[in-house]
Amino acid sequence: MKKIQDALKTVLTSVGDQKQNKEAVKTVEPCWLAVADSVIGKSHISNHTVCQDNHYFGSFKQCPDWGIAVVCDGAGSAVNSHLGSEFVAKKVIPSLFEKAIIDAKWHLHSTAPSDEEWKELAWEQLKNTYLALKNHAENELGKELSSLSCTVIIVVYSPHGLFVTHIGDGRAAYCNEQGEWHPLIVPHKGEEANMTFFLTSITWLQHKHFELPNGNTIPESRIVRGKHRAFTLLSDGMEQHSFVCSSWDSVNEQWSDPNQAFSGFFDPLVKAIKSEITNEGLNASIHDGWKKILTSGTPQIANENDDKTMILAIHR
Amino acid sequence: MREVMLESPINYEQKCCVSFVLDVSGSMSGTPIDELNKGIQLFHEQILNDSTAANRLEVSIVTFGSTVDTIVQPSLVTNFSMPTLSTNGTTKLVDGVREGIRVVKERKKWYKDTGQPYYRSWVILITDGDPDAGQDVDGLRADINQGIKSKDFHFFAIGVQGANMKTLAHISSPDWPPASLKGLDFSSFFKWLSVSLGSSGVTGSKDGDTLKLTDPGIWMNGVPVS
Repeated sequence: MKKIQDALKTVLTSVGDQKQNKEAVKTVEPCWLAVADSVIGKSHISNHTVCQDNHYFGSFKQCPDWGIAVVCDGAGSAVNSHLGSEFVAKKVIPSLFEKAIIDAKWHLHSTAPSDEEWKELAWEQLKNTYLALKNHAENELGKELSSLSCTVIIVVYSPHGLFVTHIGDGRAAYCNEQGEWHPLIVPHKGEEANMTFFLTSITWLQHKHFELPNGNTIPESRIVRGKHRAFTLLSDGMEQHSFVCSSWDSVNEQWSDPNQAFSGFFDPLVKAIKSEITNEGLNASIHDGWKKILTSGTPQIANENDDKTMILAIHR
Repeated sequence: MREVMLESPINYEQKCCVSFVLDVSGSMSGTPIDELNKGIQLFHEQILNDSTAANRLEVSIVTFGSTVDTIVQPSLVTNFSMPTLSTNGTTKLVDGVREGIRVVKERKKWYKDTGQPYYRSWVILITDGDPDAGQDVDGLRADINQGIKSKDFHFFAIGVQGANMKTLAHISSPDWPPASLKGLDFSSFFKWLSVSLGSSGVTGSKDGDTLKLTDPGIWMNGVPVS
């Protein structure tokens, strides 16, 4: 546990030092711009509980053409899951993953690493995230780890493509250069409709690259190479409103999950965000507009009981 | 940010099956059955008015008196009109609950066979009496406990005036003991139930959610369960 604390201190100190060392920082403008927000759901308002979702989006300090997007969704019954999702999304994952990628010198390579290399780095850093959360829960907050349970979706963007890893549910997708949307993850779902897995579920730690009956693994990790127009990641409170994720074939009596980002939802948003790009980045006013979309962008979104988080990133 | 016109995808709603097992024995004649009929009609209307629950909740009705009848197979409320119940004979409670269990287990199998996600089912018993002599109450208790343990269904028993609450407690899980209805206030119970099973309760819940149901004290005798 002390090793994790020391590692975190080293990361935070070295990132701070590197701000001073201009020669070490690539003078590259961030090439991805994003809108991101987490909004409390109807049932949490009526139950007087806080929003259990959290998120992060930002470029790496040392190489701004790389960066990371994170969405975490706290477990419903875990009383401190809002603390867990905030700690994981904002305080741990961005720094751990940046340091690991810089240490591996991937930012200096002309091509993406192999799928296996990303899979191993992702597993190792998710393990370190688990350990950091455990230390935070037990030693700093005096609470049980399980009370801070949350899911996690991570997208690392780079000049070579998108690196994705996740544990739990929620959705993620990217838009290719032809304007077609494709999924980035297959959410981890349990037998019953409202079940999932969490970062704090010990199973994936005890069985590396744990395989589910449907062939998916926990964590699930992949690289989508090449250049893309946009990507999105969201908590499950937004999935019914933005993805085709539940289809019924009444002829054959079979259900399926197409896991398809709905272009009628995302294309107008990408267009609207692009119109807000200036030389300095995004118009500041866009963030209020984004919050409004996640609160009541459609009647169905307005009626959603669950907390809602969505990050939508556009390539400049 | 300028106004954006967004389309919503069409998604099939995941289902939750609830089987009502209703006592229509002779002792329910008169005001009790009239109030029960009003209550189930109110439930039907309340769920119809909750667009999410109306697309998620599949309702079955099993009645028991001298005979056991499944008068409504699991159906969305938009697909059936609530029947009017009439009374007959004795109290084959054990057979009635067993039929309710069979209905939800069969529905769960269908959900799994067709690959669709589902919420755990409910068996809700409403009775004003005692099972007929010779009914296998201990066997029913074992079936209910096994079904709860295997996560096949939740079980909730409501005793109407005259009900043997000891028998209902014997067959129920200690985690979800039976409740006693205040008078014949079925309307308040079914209104509470429609909220509990509706989109702000069970059919809108996610994994691990603690269902903070509204106070049942409005329809329940004794100390409200928190």
